[in-house]
Amino acid sequence: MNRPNQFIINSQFPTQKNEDGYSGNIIIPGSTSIPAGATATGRIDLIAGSIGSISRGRISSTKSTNPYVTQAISYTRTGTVSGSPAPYTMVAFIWRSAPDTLTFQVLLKNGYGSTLISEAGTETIQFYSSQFVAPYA
Amino acid sequence: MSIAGAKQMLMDSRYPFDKVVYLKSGSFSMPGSSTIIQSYPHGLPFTPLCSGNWSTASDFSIQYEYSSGIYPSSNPGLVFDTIFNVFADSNNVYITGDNNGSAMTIYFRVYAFEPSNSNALLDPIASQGDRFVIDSRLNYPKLYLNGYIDLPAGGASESYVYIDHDIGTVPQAMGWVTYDTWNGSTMVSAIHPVATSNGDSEGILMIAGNARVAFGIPPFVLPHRAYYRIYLDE
Repeated sequence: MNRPNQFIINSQFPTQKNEDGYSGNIIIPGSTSIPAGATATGRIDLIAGSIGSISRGRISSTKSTNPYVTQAISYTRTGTVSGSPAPYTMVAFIWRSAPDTLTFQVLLKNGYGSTLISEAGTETIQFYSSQFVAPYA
Repeated sequence: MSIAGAKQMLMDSRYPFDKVVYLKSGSFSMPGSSTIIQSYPHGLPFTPLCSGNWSTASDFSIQYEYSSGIYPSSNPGLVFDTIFNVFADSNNVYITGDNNGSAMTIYFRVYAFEPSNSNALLDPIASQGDRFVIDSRLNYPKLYLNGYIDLPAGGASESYVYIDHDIGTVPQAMGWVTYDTWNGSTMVSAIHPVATSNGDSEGILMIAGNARVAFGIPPFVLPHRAYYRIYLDE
């Protein structure tokens, strides 16, 4: 036994091995029509990492004053339903959609019973992910 | 050597390597249209800082991060149809989830770090994980700042607590927040990755910039302790 927090390097504990970094932007057009109950999606698939690779990522939006968030993020945007203001949720996150594929994803959910017109103005969601070799056996 | 120079090095004795002190993989059956909390004793003398992934495939050929999952949802109020989170307290690691779809088998992986305010004696776990501790073909993130900060209660509007790093580029950063409840139940000093709600409308964000990182505190939340790990690497 030893005290790993006292060591710069300790071969008795797995460490984090960074394979490479990847970036991408998803552009969300403003005033997009989303049918009732539907989810609009934006997506970038990159051949990156390997099966089980873990991600240390960050996400930002051109409509947010924050530089980057370091985790999946849920934004509240305001569109219109039948001409009235209608808040809705937009989620940006990172996942692996196939053994060799890193995916940057945006979802806009229309939870209303009528067509939602999404918020006006183009929005760009910027992703960056460092892919790490999974520390598991 | 400058910070810029240190970032170019495979290793730098001024900046520790990450040391994963806990690994857990497993599976469980998730009923349809249900919520679940699975607990696994971790046996550590501290509350670990957890991260990891989950999947519906045993080989993790499709893999989700915690706080995200399967979409779309037929429930108009939800974005994800199935979603899982991870957190820990002084005794257990917990996998929690909501499934609005059909019954399925869930596979999970958890890895965890030791908080900076711990200096525990630990059994080695390298045999449980990837055996190649050092590989010169790969980059090893250099831990630059590692600590905790006590966040104030939220005010009437969103507020921020900043941690200066002055690296000059946006660093890799990880954060965790301590909550005392989960889904209405008392769970004292449980540590959750940032942005995972504790089920009681408390979800603190971590934000990274090229000079500082910040914890974003929603309105009216209780005061919490937050842990952070900031790396030289981008």
